[in-house]
Amino acid sequence: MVEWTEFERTTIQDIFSKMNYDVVGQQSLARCLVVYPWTQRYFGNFGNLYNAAAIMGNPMVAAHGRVVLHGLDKAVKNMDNIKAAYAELSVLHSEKLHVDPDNFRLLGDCLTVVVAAQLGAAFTPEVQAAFQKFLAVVISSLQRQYH
Amino acid sequence: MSLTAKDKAAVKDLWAKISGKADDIGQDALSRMLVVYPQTKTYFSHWKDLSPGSAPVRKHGKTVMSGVADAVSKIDDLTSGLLNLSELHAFQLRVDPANFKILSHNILVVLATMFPDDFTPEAHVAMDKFLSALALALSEKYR
Repeated sequence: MVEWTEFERTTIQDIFSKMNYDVVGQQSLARCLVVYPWTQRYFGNFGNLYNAAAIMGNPMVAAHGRVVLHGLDKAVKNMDNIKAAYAELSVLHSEKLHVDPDNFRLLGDCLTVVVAAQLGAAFTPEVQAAFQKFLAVVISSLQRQYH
Repeated sequence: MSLTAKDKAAVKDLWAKISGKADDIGQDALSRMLVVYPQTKTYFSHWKDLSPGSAPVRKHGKTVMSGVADAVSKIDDLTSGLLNLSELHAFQLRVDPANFKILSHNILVVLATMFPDDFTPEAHVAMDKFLSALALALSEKYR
């Protein structure tokens, strides 16, 4: 069981309650596809991903970014048992989507950068620590059912 | 994943915009590293104060960023350009190279908070590649 401090719980609830899922989802996934281009391997049917401008403007990327970000809601609402909450999603990513789990970390890093840009100075070191701990738990849970 | 001409131009372009705040960037990145990755504190047991923004953290942030500035000027041959720094890190400091990735990540986060409009995805990928190449050059003399 992951132990969360009051500060960590409040920080995570706060960040996600104020988040613009459309913007942050689109920006995070698009940034991931630009910064780590090999991640494009999972999106062969998304059309034009030929350059950064195309990726940033691609509507399928935007839509999927939103889906992925809303996937985090499960963790935000079940912070005391993220592992159980993600069991099905983990099986999905492993058995059906065949996603290399290292990609979770790459997307997580891009999400951190986007949230940092949104929050500016409010993204203090302590807030960053809470956010990264949260993402680490999500990532670990998503990897749990891989075998 | 070596630096293309486009990468180098993007790095120099971004550097021109951010170099004025190099000291702040260094101090903030180091502060975050020590808070978010507490294992990195093991390298600074000789400091009186490891809290964010403390005097030793500010001073060391400056030192680190002047190394980064030096690397920008030697971007066409980081390996030879950073030989002395590599020897320092390999034989004296003996910092585990995994930590270069950690500090790089925090530099990128700081750039996002301080320069949200300039730290575009294109600038991000170029900077990430540059910091990775820098880390590789710093590891050159390790073994």
